Amino acid sequence: MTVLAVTGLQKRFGGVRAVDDVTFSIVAGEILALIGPNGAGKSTCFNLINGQIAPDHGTIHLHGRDITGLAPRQIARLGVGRSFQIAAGFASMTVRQNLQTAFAAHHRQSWRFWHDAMGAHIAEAEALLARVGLVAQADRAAGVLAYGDLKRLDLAIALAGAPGLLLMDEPGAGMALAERGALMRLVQKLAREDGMAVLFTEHDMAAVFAIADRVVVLNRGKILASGDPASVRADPLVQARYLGAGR
Amino acid sequence: MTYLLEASGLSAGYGRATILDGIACALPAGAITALLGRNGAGKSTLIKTLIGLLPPRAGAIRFAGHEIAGLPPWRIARLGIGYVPEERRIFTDLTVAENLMVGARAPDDGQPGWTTAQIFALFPNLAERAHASARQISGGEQQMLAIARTLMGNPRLLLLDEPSEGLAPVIVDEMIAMLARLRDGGITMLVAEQNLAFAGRLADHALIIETGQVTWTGTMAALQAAPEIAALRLGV
Amino acid sequence: MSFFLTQTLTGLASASSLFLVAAGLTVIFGVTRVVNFAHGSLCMLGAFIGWSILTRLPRDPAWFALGVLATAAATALIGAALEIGLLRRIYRAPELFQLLATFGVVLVLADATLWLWGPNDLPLPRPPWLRQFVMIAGSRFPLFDLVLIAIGPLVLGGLLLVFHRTRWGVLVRAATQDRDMVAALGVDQRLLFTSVFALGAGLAGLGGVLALPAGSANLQIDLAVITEAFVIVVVGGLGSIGGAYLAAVLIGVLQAFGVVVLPGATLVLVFVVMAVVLVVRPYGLLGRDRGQSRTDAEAVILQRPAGPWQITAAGIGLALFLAAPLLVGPFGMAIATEMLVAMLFAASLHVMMGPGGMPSFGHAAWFGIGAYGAALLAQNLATPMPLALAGAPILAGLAAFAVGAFIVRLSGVYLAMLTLAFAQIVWAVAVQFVGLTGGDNGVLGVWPADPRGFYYVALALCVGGVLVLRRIMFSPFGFALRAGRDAPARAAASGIDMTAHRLAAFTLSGAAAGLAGAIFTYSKGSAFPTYISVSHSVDALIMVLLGGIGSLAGPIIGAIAYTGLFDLLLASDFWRARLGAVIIALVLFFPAGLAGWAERRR
Repeated sequence: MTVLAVTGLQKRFGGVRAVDDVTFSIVAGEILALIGPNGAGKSTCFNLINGQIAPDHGTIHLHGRDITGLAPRQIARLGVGRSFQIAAGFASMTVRQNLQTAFAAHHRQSWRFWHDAMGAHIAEAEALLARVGLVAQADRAAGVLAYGDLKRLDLAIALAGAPGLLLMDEPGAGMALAERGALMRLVQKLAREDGMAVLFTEHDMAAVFAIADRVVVLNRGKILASGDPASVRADPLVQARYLGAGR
Repeated sequence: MTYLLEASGLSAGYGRATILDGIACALPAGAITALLGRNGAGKSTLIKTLIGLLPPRAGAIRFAGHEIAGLPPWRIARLGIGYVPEERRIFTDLTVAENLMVGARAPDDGQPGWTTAQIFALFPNLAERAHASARQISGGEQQMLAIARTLMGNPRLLLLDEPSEGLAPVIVDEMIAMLARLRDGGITMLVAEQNLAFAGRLADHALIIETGQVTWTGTMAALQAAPEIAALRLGV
Repeated sequence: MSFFLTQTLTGLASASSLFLVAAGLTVIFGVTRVVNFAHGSLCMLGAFIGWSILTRLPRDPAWFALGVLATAAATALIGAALEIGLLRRIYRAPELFQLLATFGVVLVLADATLWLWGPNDLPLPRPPWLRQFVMIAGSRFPLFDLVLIAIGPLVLGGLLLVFHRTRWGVLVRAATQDRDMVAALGVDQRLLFTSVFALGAGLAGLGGVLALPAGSANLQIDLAVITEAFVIVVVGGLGSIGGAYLAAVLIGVLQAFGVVVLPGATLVLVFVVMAVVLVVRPYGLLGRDRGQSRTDAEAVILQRPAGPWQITAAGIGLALFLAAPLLVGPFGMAIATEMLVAMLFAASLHVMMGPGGMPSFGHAAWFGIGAYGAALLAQNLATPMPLALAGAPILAGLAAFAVGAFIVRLSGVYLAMLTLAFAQIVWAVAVQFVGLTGGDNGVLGVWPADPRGFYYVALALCVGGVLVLRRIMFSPFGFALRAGRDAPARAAASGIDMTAHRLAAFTLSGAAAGLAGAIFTYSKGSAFPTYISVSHSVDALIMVLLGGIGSLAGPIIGAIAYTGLFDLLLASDFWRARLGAVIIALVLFFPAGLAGWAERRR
C-alpha cells in the first residue's frame, strides 16, 4: 500500500533548481533513505513534503490524498510525523509530560482548559516511554537530557501522533556512534511493528546501508540513482559523484 | 615543529549541551591543518571557540605567546586570528568594497599589510564587482569575499569553516590554489572540512574530532595512506 | 487647498522632531539590540539643558544654533556615560531585563530632572526672529516650522552620508546586520557601541531642544516622546533610518490632519495606522526580519506544581489574609487589598509572559479597561456590583482578543512595544474623553455597599482567580501553550495551533487583569488614568521578574514583596529615583529573578 507518492516535484530558489523533477513513493512499513551531498536538495525535499514550503510544480499524495500546498499543521494532522535534525523537546516539562502533551494534541484535546494534563494519557505515555527506552528519564526535565535521550524524546513525540509516515532529518546528527546505531535499530523496529513508512536523510552511510530498504540518491536537485542499498552502492555513477572512490 | 596555536582541556557548548569535551590540539606554524569529523562532531564549535565567539567553559588556548581563552572576539582577532565562518556571514547590506573596509586593520608591528589593490589582484572577480551590493554576487564570490575580508585584517592564523561547501568544482580548484599560495606566504590555517577529497588536496596535517574530542592527529599523507582510519573515524 | 498645504507643512514640521528622536532610537537598537526606554528621557534632558543654555545666550539665530549644538553634545555625553555605566553590563541579559533596566533609568532621570529644574514647565522666551511668520498660499506659517521641516531631511541626509562615506558608518551598518561577525573581524565593540549610543542620545537631545520654541521643557516629555518614537521605529522598521523618516512623516502628517478632523482621537488613529502597516509588513515599512532574538540567555526552568512546603506557606498566607480584618487597622486593610489585587494582576501577566512566551509592556491596559469598565457600568448604567465585577473581565478579555488578533504572531521586542503602544492609547482615551471618563479627575464614588464584606469578596475573587489561572496552566491547553513556547516547530509538527493558543492565553490574561482592575476600582471607590500608566504596567513586570518567571509562585511572592516595598518607598520624596535604582540593581545583580537566584543557590 503506497503511503507517500511524490510526483514531478520542483522547487526553485532564485535561479537555482533546488529540487528538480523528483518522483518517488514509499509503501507502508518501508524505510527509504534520501542521500546526497550538501546542497543536493534533501532538506528542500523534506520541507516540501512536510509543508514548510510549497512546490513550484509537482504533486504530493498521502494515502492517495493530494496534500500539495497544505500547511505543516494540516499535514501533521493527516498522519505525517517528523523528527528534527536539531532535536527539540518541550524543555520546561518532564519527559512524561512531553508525551502527555503530544498525546493530548493527537487526540485533539489541547483546547481543554479544565482537565488535569498530568492525569491524562498516563498509560499511553508509559507504553511509549518503554518502547523508546526512556522509562528511567520519565520524571526529568526535557531541558536537561543528554543529547541522545533528547533525540529519543523527539522521536517519541513524533510517534505519539501515530504517524503513517515518519520523516527524519539526519536522525544520527550529533550523536555518538553507539547511540546512533541504537536509535536507527529502534526506528527499524518501530517501522516493522507499526507498518509505518519512514523517509530519512543521513550523512552516515553505515546507518543508511544498515537499515534502509531502499535508497534514493539526489544530486543537484535531481535523482541520480535509486534502488536497494546494495545496487545503489554498486552504481558507478553514485560512486563517482557521491560516495567517492575506494568505497 | 613549532606550533602557532596550542589548546588544551578545552570544553565548550551551547545551553546545557556540551559539544567540546576537553579537546587538546596544536596547529603547526606555516602549515594547513584539516579539521575533520562528522556532522555534529564539534568542528564549527571548536572554530567558534578559538575565535572567541563561544566562550570556553574550561581549558587554555595559547596563541603566539598570548593566552586567549576567554578574551572577546575582537581582541583575539587583533592578535592575528582571522575567521571565515561556514555561512560566510558577509554583510549583504554593504557593497563588496565596504565589506573589505570592515575587515581592514593595519598590522600592529608597523609592517605593510594587505591593501585593497593587492586583494583585488588576488581576487579579480571581486575587483570587477567592488561597488556591487554583496547581496547580488554569486555564492563563489561571496566565499572569496569572506576570505578577502578576513585577509584585510592581516591575520597570522586563518580559521576556515567548510570553505568548499556549496561551491562548483571549478571554484573549489581556484580556492585550493589560492589558499596554498597564502600558506606559502606564511599564513597558518585550520580548515574544517567534511569533504575528505578536498582536505586531501589542500592540507598538510589533519585532526579528527569525534563527539567533542580529538581522536586522531597526524599528517594528511598518513591519513590518506590508511583509508581504514577515515572509514572508522569519519564514516566515509 | 491652503488648508491641506498648511496642515501638511505643520505635519512635516512635527515629523522632523519625531524623526530626530526615533532615528536615535533605531540606530541604537540596530547596533546594540537594546530597546532604550530612556530615549524619551534623553529627549527631555535635551529640552531642559537646551532651556538652561539658550536662556543664557544672546537671542539671535547664530547663538541659537550654537546653543542647540551644545545641547546635542551634552546629551551625547550623558548617553555615553549611560552606556558605559549601565548598558554595557547588560548586553547579554534577556531583552526584557534590558527594557526594564532602561525604564529604571527613566525613573532616575525623571527625579533628577525634577530635582535640578523644579516641577514647573519652562517655556523658552521667544525672540522676535522665532516669532516670525511667512505667508504661504495666503495663510501665515511660522518661520521656525519651515526651519524644522528642512532640518529633518538635512539630518537624514547627514546620517546617510556618515553611514555610507565613513569607515565608522560602514562599521555601524555592518554591526547592525551581524555584530558578532564585526567583532570577529577585530572591531572594538565597546567603542562602537558607546559611540553609537552617544550619537543616538545626541539626536534625542537635538529633538528635545528643537521642540522647545513650540512648547516648553516639562516633565511629561519623557514618556510622551518614547511612545511616539516606539511607534515610529516599529512602523519604519527596527534599525532603519530611512524607515524612521518615512514613518515620522506619515505619522506627523496624519496627526496634523487628525487634530483637525478627529480631535481627541489622534492617538487611536496612529494605532490604526500602525496595525495596518504591521499586518501588511510585519517588520515595518523598510524593516527586515532580523532573525530570532537570542533565547539561550533565558534558561528554561522545569515548571512543576507546588510542593508540600509551598502549599503550607500558601495556606499560612491565606490564613493571614483571612484573619487580616482582626489583625490590622484600615491602613493595613488597604495594603492587604492592594496586595491581593497585585497578586491577580501579576499572575495574569505571568500567564502571558511565562507559559505564553509573550512579553508585555502594556499590561495596565487590560487592568484599566476592567477598572473603567466596572466604574462606568456602575455609574452610568447603575449596574449592581456583582454584574459590574463580571462585566469588567469580559470587556477586558474582548479588548485583549481584538488587539491580540493582530499582534500575537509577533515576537519579543515588537510584541512588547505594541502592547505598550496600545496601553498608551487606552490611557489617552481615559484622559481625553473627558465626557465619558472624567479625564484626569477620574470616575469617582464607586463604592461597594459593605466595605468589610467587600474585602472578602476581593479575597475570594483574587485567590480564586489565581487558582483558576493555575488550573488552566496545568491543563492540556496550558501544556500545549508551553510546548509552543519551548519548541515552536516541534509543537506545530505535533498539530498544535500555536497562534490560536497564544491568542487564547492573551485573552485570558487580559480578562484576569481586567478583573483585578475592577476589584481595585471598588476598593478605592474610583478609577483614574494612572491605573493605565506606563509605570503601572512596569509595576506588574517588576513583580513577575522580581519573583521569577519560572513558576506561578514567582509573581505571587513578587506581588506581595513589591507592594510592601512600594508602600515603603512611596512615603518618601524622590521615590521614583529610589524605585529606579532598585530596578537597575535588580537587573544587574539578579538577572534570573529572586526565585531563579534561590534556585541557583541550592
